[in-house]
Formats: sequence, structure tokens, C-alpha cells
Amino acid sequence: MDLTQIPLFKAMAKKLAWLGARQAVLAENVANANTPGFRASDLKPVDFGKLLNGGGNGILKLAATSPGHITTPASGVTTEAPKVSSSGPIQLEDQMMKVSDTATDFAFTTSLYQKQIALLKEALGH
Amino acid sequence: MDLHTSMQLAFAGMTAQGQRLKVIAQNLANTDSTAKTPGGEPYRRKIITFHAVLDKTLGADSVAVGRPVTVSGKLESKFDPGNPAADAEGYVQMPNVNPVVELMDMRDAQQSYQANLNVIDAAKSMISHTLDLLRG
Repeated sequence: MDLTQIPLFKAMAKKLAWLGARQAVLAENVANANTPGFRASDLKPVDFGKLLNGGGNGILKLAATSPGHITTPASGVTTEAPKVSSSGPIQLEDQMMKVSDTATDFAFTTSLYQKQIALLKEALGH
Repeated sequence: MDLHTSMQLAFAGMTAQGQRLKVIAQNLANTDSTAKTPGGEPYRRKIITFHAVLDKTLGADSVAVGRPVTVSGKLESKFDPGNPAADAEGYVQMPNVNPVVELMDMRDAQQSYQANLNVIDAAKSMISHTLDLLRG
């Protein structure tokens, strides 16, 4: 069984990857907090709910039995979030808030992942 | 892995702030360092400069510390005829170190250091949460 074929797991894995990438961007900001002219950047937020509800690659596609069939359109949601720079100097408090937010979100997503695995195991009778 | 990148960047930040603290300590220690010869130059305040450098292995902007820069500017003179650095009128040039400014700078360095430490803490907790997934 490939867990990544299940949309929920796929969304969670992408969310974890996104949070990791965001943490790296925030670390960059904090390390350069005293660098003159350095602008804080952040990742663009991704709507993971949209990803789960049929967007992105986690979607269940309609089976096409003929090449003439119309398939479901590809969604515009991607997890490759672009970096956006903010204007003005880096505010450490703001960055710290974001860092702890990211860490909490990560903990939340991993525990959600564990719960889903437990649920699957329950269904399998373990 | 991104979380390791975060840690590496935070380490770079901590090293930079550590170097800054070193220069601040140097300034504070030399608050009263005058010249050895009459009319000579006393100790001058030094500051550190930071700049962002692209770390190609990490693929992110790391922080680098430039050479300490000597701060020029007017020096204050103190009347102290007994000092070996005193000029003909008995005045000694004192370093341009202001302890209050240095303490402020020290506070700032401390704060930045702590912020980097918090980033490491957060990244560490994220890694341990990921490892916890193995336990199921």
C-alpha cells in the first residue's frame, strides 16, 4: 500500500515539507537579523485544504477509457511556494512568532499523521 | 534537508553574534587604554560588520562577519599631567569608547544570539517529532 496515494497523507507530507522549507527561510532571516539592507522573506502560504479537496496531485482522477474523454483539469495549487520578501528591517519578535508557529504546526501535522496511521492499523485489525 | 539547513543558518548567526560580543568585550576592556608615548593615538572603538552571503551548499543566505572596522571621530582629552601619554600641556587623549553604547550593543547581540538559539530549538523539536512518526 502506498500511503502517498491517499490524498490526506499526500497533503500532510506536503505540509511537513512546506513547514520545513519555511523554517529554513525563517532561520535565514534570524541569522541575518543584524545584516544591513537584508530584507526578511517568507514562503507564500499554501491552501492545504484546497489540496485535500481535489486540488493538486492528490486528486482522484476520472478513469478515461478513450483519449477523447475530458479529464479533470489540473489544479493551480502547488506546494512549491515562492519566497516573498517584505519591505523594512527584520523584526526579531515577528520572526520568533513565525518560528514557533511553524514548529507547532509541524507537531500538529505529525501527530495527525500518527493518528491516521493508527486509524488505518485499527481498520487492518492490528 | 531543510531543517538541517535551518540549524546550519542559526549556527552561522550564533557564530556571528559571538564575534560581535568579542569585539564589544575588546572595546569595553580598552575603555581607558591610552597611548604609551606623548601625543600618541589611544585605543579606538571597533565595530563589526555583517553581510549576507549565499551559501551554495545550503542554498540559502548565510551570514558572514567582515573585519572589525575602527571608528574614527573626535577623541576627548583629559587633563592628566602624570600620564606617560600626556602632551606638553598635560592633556591625554582618551579612547572614543562609550560604555553605555557598548552595553546597548551587547544587549542587542545577546538578543540575536537567543533568537538563533530558539530557531535551533524549534528545528530540533520538529526533527524529533518527525522521528516520533517511526514509533507509530
